[in-house]
Amino acid sequence: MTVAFYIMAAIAVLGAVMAIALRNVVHAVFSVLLFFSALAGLFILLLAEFIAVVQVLVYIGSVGILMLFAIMLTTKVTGDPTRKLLSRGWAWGGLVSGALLLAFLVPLITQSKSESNSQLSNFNPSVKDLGLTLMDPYFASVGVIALLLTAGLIAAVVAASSASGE
Amino acid sequence: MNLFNFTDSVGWLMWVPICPLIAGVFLALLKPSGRVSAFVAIAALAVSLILSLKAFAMTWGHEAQIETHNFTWMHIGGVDLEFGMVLNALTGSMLAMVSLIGLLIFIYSWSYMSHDDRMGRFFCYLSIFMVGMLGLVVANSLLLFFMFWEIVGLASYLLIGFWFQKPSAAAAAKKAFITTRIGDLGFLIGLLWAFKATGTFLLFDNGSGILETTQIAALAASENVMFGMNTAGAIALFLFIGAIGKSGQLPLHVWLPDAMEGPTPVSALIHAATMVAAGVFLVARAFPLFIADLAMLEVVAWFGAFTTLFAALVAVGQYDIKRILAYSTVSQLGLMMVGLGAGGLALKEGGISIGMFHLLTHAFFKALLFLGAGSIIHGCNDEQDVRLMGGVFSKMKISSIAYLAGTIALCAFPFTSGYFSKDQILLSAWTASGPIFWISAIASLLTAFYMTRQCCYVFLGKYRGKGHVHESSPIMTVPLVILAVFAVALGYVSEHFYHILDYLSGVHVHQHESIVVIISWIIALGGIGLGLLVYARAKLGIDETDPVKKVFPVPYRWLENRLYADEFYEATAFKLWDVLAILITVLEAIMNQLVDFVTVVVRNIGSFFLNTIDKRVIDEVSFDGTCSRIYNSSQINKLIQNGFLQGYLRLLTGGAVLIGILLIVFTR
Amino acid sequence: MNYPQLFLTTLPELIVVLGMFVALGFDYTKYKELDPQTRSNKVAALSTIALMLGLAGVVWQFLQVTDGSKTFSNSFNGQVVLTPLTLWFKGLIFVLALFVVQFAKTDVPNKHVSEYFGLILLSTLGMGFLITAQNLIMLFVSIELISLSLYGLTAFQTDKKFSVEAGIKYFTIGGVSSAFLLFGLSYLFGATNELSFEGITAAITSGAAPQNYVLIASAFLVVGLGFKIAAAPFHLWAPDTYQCGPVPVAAWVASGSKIASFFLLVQLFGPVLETSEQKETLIAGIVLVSVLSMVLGNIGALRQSCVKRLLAYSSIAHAGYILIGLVAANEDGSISVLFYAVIYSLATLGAFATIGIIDSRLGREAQIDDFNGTWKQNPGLSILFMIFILSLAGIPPLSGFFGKFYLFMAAIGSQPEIASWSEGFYWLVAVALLMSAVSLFYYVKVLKAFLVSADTPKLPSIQITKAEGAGLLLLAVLVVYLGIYPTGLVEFIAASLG
Repeated sequence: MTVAFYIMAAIAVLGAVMAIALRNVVHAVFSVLLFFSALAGLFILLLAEFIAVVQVLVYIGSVGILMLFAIMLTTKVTGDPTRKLLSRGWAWGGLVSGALLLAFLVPLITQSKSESNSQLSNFNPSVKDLGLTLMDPYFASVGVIALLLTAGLIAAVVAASSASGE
Repeated sequence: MNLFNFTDSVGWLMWVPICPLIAGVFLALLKPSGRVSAFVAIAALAVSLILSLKAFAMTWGHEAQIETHNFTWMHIGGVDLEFGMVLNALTGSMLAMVSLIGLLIFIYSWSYMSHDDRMGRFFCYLSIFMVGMLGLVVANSLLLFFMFWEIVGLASYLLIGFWFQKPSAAAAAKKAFITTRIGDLGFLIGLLWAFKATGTFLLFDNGSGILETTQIAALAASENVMFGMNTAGAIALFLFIGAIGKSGQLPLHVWLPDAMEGPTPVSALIHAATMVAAGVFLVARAFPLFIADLAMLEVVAWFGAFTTLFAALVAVGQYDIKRILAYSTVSQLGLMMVGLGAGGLALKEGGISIGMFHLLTHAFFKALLFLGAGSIIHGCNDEQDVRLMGGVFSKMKISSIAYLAGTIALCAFPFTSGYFSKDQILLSAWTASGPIFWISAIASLLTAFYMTRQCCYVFLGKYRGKGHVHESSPIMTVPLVILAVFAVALGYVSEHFYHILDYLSGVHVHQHESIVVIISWIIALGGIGLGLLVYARAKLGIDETDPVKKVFPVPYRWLENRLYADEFYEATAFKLWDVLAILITVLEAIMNQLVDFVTVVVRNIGSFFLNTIDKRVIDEVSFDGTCSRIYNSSQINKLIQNGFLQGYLRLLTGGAVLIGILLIVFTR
Repeated sequence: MNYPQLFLTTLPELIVVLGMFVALGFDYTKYKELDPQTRSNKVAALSTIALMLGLAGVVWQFLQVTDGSKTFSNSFNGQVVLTPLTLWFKGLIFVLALFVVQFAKTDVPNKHVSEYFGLILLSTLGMGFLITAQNLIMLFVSIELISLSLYGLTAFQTDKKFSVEAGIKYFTIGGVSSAFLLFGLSYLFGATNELSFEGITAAITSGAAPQNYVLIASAFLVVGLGFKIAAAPFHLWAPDTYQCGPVPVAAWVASGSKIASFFLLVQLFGPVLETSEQKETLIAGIVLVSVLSMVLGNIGALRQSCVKRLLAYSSIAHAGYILIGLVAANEDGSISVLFYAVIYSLATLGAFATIGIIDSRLGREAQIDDFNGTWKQNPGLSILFMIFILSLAGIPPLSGFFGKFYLFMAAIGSQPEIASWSEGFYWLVAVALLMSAVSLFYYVKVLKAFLVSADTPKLPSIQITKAEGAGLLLLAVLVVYLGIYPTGLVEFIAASLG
C-alpha cells in the first residue's frame, strides 16, 4: 500500500511539474491528464472509489478532452513548441513555494499526530446521496454555482466574440 | 448480453438498427465516393431487411406472443437503467414495413441524388435516420425509445436542411427541429413520470413492465391525478404530446409542409412513411396506457379528427405538388389517430389494429406518391407548381400509372389497400362517436377531391411549363412499380385481411356495418367524381383562377393561406415579447421622471452652496519642500510593481510564507 | 428543503436574476439594431428597475426580520442567513450597485452592453450572497461568483491591450488566492468538521478543534481574503486593475467588493479572534499585513500622476487602516471595521465615479495636471469631488475622520490595562497616524490641482447627465451626513452585532 502510494504520488508530482515546464502545450495537457490519473489512483488507495471514478470520468474524460479541443480550435496554438513559458525567476518561485511548504505543512505534520476524523471515514456517498445532498441542504449554493457559470459564460461570450474580430 | 446469440432470445434484434449504424459510421469516417456510399448504405439496409423479415415471420401466427431481451445498461444512484428489445406483432410488422420502404427509397435516391456531389453525406444521414427509426421500433424501454426518437429528429433536421444553401431549407429544418422539440418535451415528462410511478423504463419485463397488466392496473388505480384522469391517462397524455409533435397533428403540424424543402426521397421516407408515423407508432406501442383511461382515447380521437379535417381542407387550396401531399400526410396521420382513438373506444386492444393497419398501407401508397411526385418533378425540370405541369401522362407513362395507383389507394377507391384500412377506421368511428365519424367522412371525401384535382392539374391537358417532359431512369421507376403493386395489391390479400388485423393487435377484430361500407363507397367515388366534374374540363394554369376559387373566392383564399396557422403563431407567441418591451419602455419613462425631479432639487441646493462659500477658502498649499524625502521613498514601490505577473505571484506567496513564519515564531 | 421558504429568502436575488435575463433577452432581440448608447440607456434602465425591485425585496425582508413577524425561515444550513445586519449590508450593496449602473451607462466599453450590465448585476448578487453566507460552501461559491464577474468586467475592453492584461493579471492572482482560500477553508472544515460559522465558532471556543489546524487555516484565509481587500503584500493586482479596467468597474471593485469582503472578515475572524487561545499569533499576522498595506499603499500613491492609480494605492492603504479594527479583536473593533468599510466605499465610489466622468469626456486617462482649474469650469463637480477626497483623507467633519477615529480608538481601547505609549497597539496607531499624514500630501496635491492652479484650464466645461449628477450628490450627502451624524449607523451595527 505504502509503496503504491509513493509511486502514485511521484507520478502526480511529475505530471504537475511537467505540465508547467513543458513547452509544447499539447504535451502539457497530456501531463495534466497524467496528473489526474495519478490522483484517481490515490483516491482508490484512499478507498474512495466513487471519487476516483468521478475523477476519471469528469476530469480525464471530459475536462482533459475539452482542453485538447480548446487548444486545437485555437488557431495559433497547435502542437508546436510555444514561447518559453518559464520566466527567468523560476528559481525564486521554486524557493518561495518550498518555503511555503516548510512554513506551513512541515510544522503541521510534525507537530500534530494525525487526528483522523471518524465522522468522515464512514461517509461513502453514492450518486443518490450526493445528489440529495446537493439538491436538498445545499440547494442555495448550487443555485449560486449556476449564477457563477452564467457569469463565466457571459465573460466567455464577450471574450470570444471580440477575439474573433466581429 | 450476447451480441451474437441468434437462437434462443431476441437479442439479435439489435442488429437491425446496428447494420445501418455501421454503414453510417463507415460513411462518416471514411467518406467514400458517392457510388460506394450508396452501395454500402443499401447493402447494410438489405441485411436489416432480411433480419426484419425474419422478425416478421417469427411473429406471424404468434400474434399474442411477446418476446423480450433485456439487459442492464448502467447502475446509477441505486437504480438499474435497463434497456432491451421487444419482439411482438407490432415490432415485426413495423420493422418489415420500415426496412422495405427504406430500402426502396435508398435505391431510388441512388439515382435521384446522382448529380449531387454530397451524395455520400446524404446516404450517411439516411443511414443515421434508419438507425433511429429501426431502433425505436425494437426498443423495449421508454428511455431507449426516446433516445432513438431523438436520433430520428436529429437526422430529419439534417436531411430537411440538406440543401442548406437554400435559406428556405435551412429555415424549414430549424422549424421542424424546434416544433417537434416542443412535443418531445411532453414525451420526456411522460417518460419521467412513468419512471417515477413504476420504477422502470421497460415496457415489457415478464409482467413488471410499464405496459403489462399489473403496472397498468396500479397506474389506473389512482383516480383524478390530472384533469380527472388517472396516472396512466396522464402519462399517456404527455406521450401523446410527443406524438403530436412528431406526427404533425394540430396544433404542431406547421413544420411538416415546410419540411418538403428537403430532397424528395427524404420527403417520401421521413415525412410520409416512417418518421411521422413514429408518433402514431408511439401511441400504438403505449396503447395499454391509453386504454387504461377512456378519456385519453377520446382526446386522441378528437385531435385526430380535427387534424384530418383541417389538413384536408388546406390541401384543397395548395398548388405545390409536394405541399399537397404533405397536407395529405397530415390529414392521413390524423385519420390514423382517429383509428387508434375510436378503435380503442370501440374495440379496446383492437384499436391498435385499426390505426396500425392504416399506417402500414398509407406508408406504401404515400411513399409511392412522393416518389412518383419526385419522378414527375424530375421529369418536368424541377418544377413543383401543379399549375405549370399538365399533360404529363402521355410523356411519363410508368411514373404516371404508378402515381395514379397511389392516388386511388389514397382516395380509398374500393378494393385498393387504402379502402380497407380507411373503411376500418370509419367503422370504429361509427361505433365510437357520431361526430368523429362524420368529420372523418368529410375529410375522406375531401381527400378524394383534392387528389383528383391534383391529378387533373398534372396529367390532363397540355404541358404548361418550360422545356420538355422526359421519363425518369429505371432505377427510379422500378421502386415505383414495386410500391404501386403493394399499394393496390395490399388490399387483395383481403382474404387474409381480417387475419392482418388480428395479427397486429393480437386480439380478434371484427366489425361490420353495411351502412358504413356504403358511405365509404359514396365518399371515395363521390370525391373522385366531384373532382373530375370540377376540374376535368376546366381551363387550368398559373394565370387561371382555380375553379373552386371562382365559386367560393373568400374561403378558398383562407385555404391558400393554410388557414393562417403560421400567422396565428406569429400573432400570439411572438407578440408576447413585444408587449413586454412596451411595458419596459413605460417603466423607463417613469424612472426618467423620477431622476428629473431629484436633479431639480439638487441643482437648487448646489447653487446655494456655490454662492455662499468663499471660492478662495483654500489658498496655496505647499508641501513640496518638506515632503520631498517621503516622495522619493516611493521609488521602492516601482521595484515591486514591475508589471511582471510571475513576480507578483512570487511576492504573494512570499507574503504567505511571512505569515507562516510568524505563526511558527509566535506559536509556542 | 422547504422550497417556498427558499423562494422568499432569495426573492431579491431572483428578481435581479430575472431582470438580468430580461435585459439580455431584449438586448439580443429588440435592441439589436439600436446604436450602443441607446441600448446602454435601455439596458441600464432595465438593470436599475431590477435592482430597485430587488432592493424593495431586501427592505421587505428587513422589515419582516426587524419586527419579528417574518414569514420565512432564514438559515438553510447557514447558507442564507437573514438578520437585520446582513440585510442592511445587502441593501447597501444593492444601493451601491444602483449607483454603479448609473455611472456605467454613459460609457460602455464596447458593443456588449447587456453583458456588461449582466456581469455587474451578477457580481452584486455574489456580494449579497457573501454577506448573508454563514457556511463555508456558500462563502467560497459566492466569492468565486464575485471574482469571476469582476475578472470579466476588468478585461471587458477587449480591444484595449491594457484592459485585457489587467484582467489576466487579476484573474491569475485571483486564482492563486482562491487556491489559498480553499486550502484554508478545507483545513477549517477538517479541524472542526463543521461547515456553518456557528458550528465552527462553537468548535473553536470549546477547544474541540485542534489549534494548529485552526491557525494554519486562518493564515491561509488571511492570504486569500487579503487578496480580496487588496491588502499588501497581496495587493499587486489592484493598481493595474483600477487603472486599466473600465472606471465604473474599478469603482465597483473598490466599493462593493470591499464591503462584502470586510463583512466576511468580521464574520469569520471576529469569533476566532475574540475567543481563540492563540489569538496573539493570528493578530501578529494581521498586524503585519496592516502595516505593510499602510506603508506600501501610501508611499506608492505619492508619485502617481494618474489619478486612478493614485486612488488604487490609496485603497490599499485604507485596507491597512481597516485591518487595525480587526486587530482590536473585540466587538468595538468589529463595529469600527464595518462602519469604516461603509463610509470608505461611499467616498471611493464617488471619487472613482467623478474620475470616470472626467475620463470619458476627456477621452483618455485623467492625469492630475488635467484637473488644473476645474473649479472655474465645473464648480459643482469640484465640490463633490472635494468632499470625497477629503473624506478619504480623513478631514473632519466628514465621515472619513470619524471612521478612522473609531478604528484607532477600538485598537487602543482593546487593551485597557496598558498605560504606556510603548506597549500594546499604540505603536500601530502611531504608524497609522503617520501614514495618514503622508496620505494628506497626495490628496491635497489632487485638490490643489482642482482648486487653485488656474492658468490654463485643460478641461472643457463638463456636462454631466442627470443620473450621474443625482448619484454623485446623493453619495456626497451620505458622506457628509455620516460624518455629522454617525451615531445612528454605529448604534445600529452595535445593536445588531450584540
